[in-house]
Amino acid sequence: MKRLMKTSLYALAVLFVISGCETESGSNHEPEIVVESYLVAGQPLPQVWVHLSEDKDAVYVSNALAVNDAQVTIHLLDAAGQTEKAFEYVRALDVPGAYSAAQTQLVEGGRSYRLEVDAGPAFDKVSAQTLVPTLFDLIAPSSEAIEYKDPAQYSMLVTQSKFEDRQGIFVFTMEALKPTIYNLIPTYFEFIFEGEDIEDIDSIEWTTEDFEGLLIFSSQPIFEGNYEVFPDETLRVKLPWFAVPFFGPLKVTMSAIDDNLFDFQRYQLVQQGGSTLSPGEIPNVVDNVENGRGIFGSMAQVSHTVEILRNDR
Amino acid sequence: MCIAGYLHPTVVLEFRMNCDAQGAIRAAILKTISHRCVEHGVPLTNRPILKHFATLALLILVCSTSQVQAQDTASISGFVKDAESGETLILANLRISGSLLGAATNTAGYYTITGLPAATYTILVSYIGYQSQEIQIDLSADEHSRLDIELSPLGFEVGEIVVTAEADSEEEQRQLGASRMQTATIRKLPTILEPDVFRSLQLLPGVKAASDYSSGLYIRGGSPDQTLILLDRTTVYNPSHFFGVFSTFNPDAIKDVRLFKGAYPASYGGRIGSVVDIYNKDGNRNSRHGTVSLGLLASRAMIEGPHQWGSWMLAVRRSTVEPILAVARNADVNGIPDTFYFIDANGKLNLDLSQNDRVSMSFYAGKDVVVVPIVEDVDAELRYGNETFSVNWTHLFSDRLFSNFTFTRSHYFSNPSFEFASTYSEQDNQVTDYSVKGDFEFIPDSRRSFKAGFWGGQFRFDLLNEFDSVDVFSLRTRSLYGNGFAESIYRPSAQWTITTGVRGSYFENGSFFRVEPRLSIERRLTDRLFAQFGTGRFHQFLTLVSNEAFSGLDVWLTSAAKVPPAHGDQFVTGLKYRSDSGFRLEWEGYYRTMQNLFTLDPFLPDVAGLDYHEMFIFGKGYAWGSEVFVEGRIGPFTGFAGYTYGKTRRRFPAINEDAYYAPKYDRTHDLNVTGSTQLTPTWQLAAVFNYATGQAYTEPSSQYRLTHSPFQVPDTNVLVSPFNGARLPAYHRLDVGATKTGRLFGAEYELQLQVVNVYNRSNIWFPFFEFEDDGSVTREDVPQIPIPIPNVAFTLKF
Repeated sequence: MKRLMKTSLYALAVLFVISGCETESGSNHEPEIVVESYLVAGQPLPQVWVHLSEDKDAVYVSNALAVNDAQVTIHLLDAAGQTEKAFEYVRALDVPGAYSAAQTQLVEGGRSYRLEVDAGPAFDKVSAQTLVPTLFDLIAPSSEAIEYKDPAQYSMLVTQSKFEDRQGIFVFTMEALKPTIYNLIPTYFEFIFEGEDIEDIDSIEWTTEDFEGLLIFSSQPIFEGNYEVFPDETLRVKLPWFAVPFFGPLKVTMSAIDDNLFDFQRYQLVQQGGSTLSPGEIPNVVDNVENGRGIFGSMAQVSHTVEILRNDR
Repeated sequence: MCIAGYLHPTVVLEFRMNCDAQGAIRAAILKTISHRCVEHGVPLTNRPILKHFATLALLILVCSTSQVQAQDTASISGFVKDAESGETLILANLRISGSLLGAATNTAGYYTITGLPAATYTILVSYIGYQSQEIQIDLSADEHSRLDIELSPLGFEVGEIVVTAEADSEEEQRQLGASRMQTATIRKLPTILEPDVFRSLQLLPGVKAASDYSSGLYIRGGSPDQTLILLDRTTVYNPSHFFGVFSTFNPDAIKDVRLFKGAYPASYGGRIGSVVDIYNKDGNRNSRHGTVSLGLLASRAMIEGPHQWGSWMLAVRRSTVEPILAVARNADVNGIPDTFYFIDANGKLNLDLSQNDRVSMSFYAGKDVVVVPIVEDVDAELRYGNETFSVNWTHLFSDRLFSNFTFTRSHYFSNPSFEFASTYSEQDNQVTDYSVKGDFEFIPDSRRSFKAGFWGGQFRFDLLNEFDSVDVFSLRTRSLYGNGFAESIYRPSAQWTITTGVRGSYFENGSFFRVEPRLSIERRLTDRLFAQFGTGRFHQFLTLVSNEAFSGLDVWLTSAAKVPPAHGDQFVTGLKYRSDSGFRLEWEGYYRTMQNLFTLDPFLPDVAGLDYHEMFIFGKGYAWGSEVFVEGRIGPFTGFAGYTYGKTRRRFPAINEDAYYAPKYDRTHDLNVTGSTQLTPTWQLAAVFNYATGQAYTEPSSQYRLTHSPFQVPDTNVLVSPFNGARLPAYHRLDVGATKTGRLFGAEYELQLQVVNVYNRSNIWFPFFEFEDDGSVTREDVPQIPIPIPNVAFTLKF
C-alpha cells in the first residue's frame, strides 16, 4: 500500500511539473484614436482634441501623440438620428491635436450631436453620439457668503434638469478662486502637509502644485433621487462642508451630465479602485466611442461663487 | 444525517439475481422503478435519466415510499458518545461483524441498524481518534434494542494531522463531495497567528483562498456567498473577524466541521454552491474541564461540564493586539487605531429530558470594533458582528423514526461611520433571520431510509445610509421563505446506493417558487473501491455585496420582482479508494453552471432614486475541475495532499465587454500538502505547503490621458486592458510548526511554535498602477504575507 501512496504522490508531482507555471503576460498595445470634447448646453460648440493612445510602458507625451491631420465634424441630429446640420472643424494651430468649430454655434439642450473623426487610412472612422441634457436654472443660492461649518450649510435652489428616460445625474465641481496655503481648510492642510508645524506656516515653501488636486475637483456622479423635488419642479441641493477645501471665494458648478459622461466617470472611478471588484481587476472604461477611445460628452450647467468665511472653530 | 442500513447478505444474493446482472445504473434504476410502479399502477415513461432526472427522483421517492412495510426483524439503535465527555459523536461508524450491515451516526450522534434476524451479533464501533470497540448483543425476533455506546479517546498526545483516519470509521465519509475536518487537526496546523476553521478547509482540494488575508471560501469556482454557512443549524451571514482575515469559529468550541463541496443532499438548500455545517460542542457530561490558550493575536478560554440534566459549554475568545498597537502608537506610526479588537463567545446548554428527548440551546455572539482617527477632524469607525441563537429538540418517535426541530435566530450587523470636517456619514446594515426547522429520518428496513423536513422563516434586511445628517438611502426587505424536502436513500444491493431527493423553495420577495431535484448514485466496485455520480439543481435567493479585501461592510441583498434567483446545475463524479490501513485515494470531477447570477452593479456610484432591480447586473458562469485527494502514512509521516485542476469563468455585460473572463480567484493548478510526524513522545512536527497557479489580474496594455476635463485638475488618466488577461507569478508558501505536550502543575499543556512563510516567499496579492507626472505608469506590487511570521501559543487543559 505504501507503493500505491508513493505512486500517487509521484503522479501529483508529475502533474505539478507538467503543468508548468503560468506567468505574467507582456503588453499588447495597439495605438487607438482618443477623442476628447465636452458640449455644454447654451455654450458655443467646444474644441475637439484628437490624440493617440500610448503603450502603458512608454512615457505619455501629449504633444507627440497629437493627431494633427484628422477630419473632424460634429453633426446636429434630428429626431430620427439623421444629420440636420453638420459643423466642420479646423485645426487650432496653436495647440497640437486641437480642432475648433469653423463657425460659432451654440449647443442646444435636449438635442443629439454626433462627432466624427477621420484620422486617415490607418484607422477606422471614429464616431460618438451624445444627447445634451436640457438647460436648467439656478433660482437662488442660500447666501453669497457663509461661515465655514455653519450648520445651515450653503445650498442652491435649482430647477429640474430633464433627461430623456432617466432621473437627472449631477456632478458638483468646486473651483477655489484664491487657492493659497493660508486659505487651506485645516483638515486638508493636515492631509497635504502632514507632519509640518502648523504654527510655522510662513516657513513652508509652497506652490499651487502642492494642492493641485484641490484647485478644481468634483464629486462623483450623484443622482437626483438624493434630493427632494418640490411640486414646482425645483430642488434644493446642499454643499457638504467636507467638499470645501479653501476659505475665500469658491465657485460651485452643478452639472447635469449625459450618459457618456456618466458612463465614463463611473467606470473610471472603478479603475481607481474601491468597488466590489477584487483588487487587481481593472475594467475598461465604457466610453461609447466607436472605433476609438475617449469622451464625447455633454452637460448643462449652473454656477455660483460663494465666499467661505473663516470661523472661530 | 447519515443513518444508514446496509443490506443483509441474504438480501444481497436475492437482488443480485434480479438486478445486479443488468450491469448498468440505468437498467437497475429503471427496472426497479418499473417493477414497483407497475405494481402500484403508476404509469412510467421511459425517458432519458439525466434529461428528466427530476421526474426520476420523484418516482423513486414515491415508489420506494410506497413499498415501506413493517419488517419482521430486530433492530438496534442509540447514541454513540465520547466515554470521557459524554459528547455525542457525529458520523461514528457501526458495523455488524461478518456482514455488510451497519450504520453511521447522524448529526445528533444517533444511529439505527434494522433488518436483523434474531441472533447474537458483534458490533464493531469506530470513530476517528477513538479506540474501536466490539460489543456483543443478543437479539430476539422483533426486538428493538436501545444500545448507547461510549468510545474512549486515544489520548491527548495523539493528534496526527488527518482529515479522516481508519477505514472502518469512514463508511459515510466517502459521500460525494463531502469532507470533514477534525478540530484537533485545525488546532495543530501551522497557521497565521490563530487556528482557523476556514483556513484549514482551504487546504482541501477544490477549496481556494483569495489571498493570505482572506479566510473566505471559494469552493469549486464559487464565490463565498455561494456557500451556506451553518452553525448549530443556524445560518451565519458574515463568518469573519478582522475584516475577513479570520473566520468567526473558535476551534475550542467546535465539535464537528462538515463540508459539502457540491451536489449536496436535498436536506440542504439556499445556495448554488456548497455547504459548511458546523456544530458546537455539547459540553462534558461527566466532569468539569476547561482550556486556556494564550496566543499572539488572541487568547481563548473554554469551560465545560455536567449539570443535573445534561451538560454545558462556554467558550470566549478575544484578540489581544492592544500591546502591539500601543508600541506602534508610541513610536508615532501613523494610522494606528484608537480601538481595534474582536471578541466572540460560544455557549451551549443541553438538557436530556428523557431517553428519547434532548433539548439544547446554543448561541454565538461576536463583534469587531475599529476606531481610527485619520487626521484632525477626520475619524472612521466600524462595528460589525454576528449573533446566532438556536433551540434544538431531538425526539425519537421510535427506534426507526428520528426527528429534530430547531428554532433559529441569526443577526448580522455592520455600522461604519465616517466624519470629515463636520460632514458625518453612517451606514446601518442589519440582517435578521428567524426560522423554524424540522427534520425527520425514517428507517423502515435495511434497504431504505427516508428523510424529510421543512425550513421556514423570515429574512429581514435593513440598510440605511445617512450622509451629512440626511437619510440618503433606505432599503427594507421583509421576506418570508419556506423550504421542504424529501430524500430517499435506497440500497437495492450491497453494490448500489441510490439517493434521490427533491427540494421545494419559496421566497416571498418576488413570489418565487423553485423545485430542486437531487440524485446521487454509488456503486461499490470492490470492497475498497467506490464509483459515484451526483447531480442536482440549486437556487439562491440572496447575493452578497462584498469585497475580497474587506468583509466588514458586507451587505446581503435578495431576489425580488425583476430580480429572479440565481440557479445552477451541478454534475459530480468520483472514484474513491481506501485501504485496510486507512490510506485513501480519491478523485472527483465536477462541472457546474451558474445562471442568473445577480450582483450589485459595481459601476453604480449612487443608488438613490433607482428602482430595486436597477441596482443589479445579471450574469452567468461555469466551473469545471478535477480533484485528487491522498491521505495516509509513509513511515513516520502522516498527512494528506490535495490537487485541483480547475477552471472557472464569469460573464457579465458590464465587464470585459460581455465576454467570459477568469475571476481573480481562478487558479488552474492548486496543490496543498500537509504532513506531520511524532518526533518524540512529546514533540510533534507539522508542515503545510501550498502551490497554486498565479491568480488572474489585469495587466494594462495602453494608457491615455484626457487633459481638458471641466471636472478636475490635473488629467483624467485611463488604462486600456484585457480584463484579467494576465497571471501573477505562481503562489507558493511553506508553514511549519512544532507542538510540545506535557504536564504542568498536574494539568496537560500544549506549547506551539510556528512559522508561516518559512522561506520568505514574496507572493503578490495584486499589482497597483499609478500615473506619474512625467507621463509614465509605474507598477507597485502589493504583497501577500511578505515575511516569515512566527507564532507562539500556549494551551493549558484542566
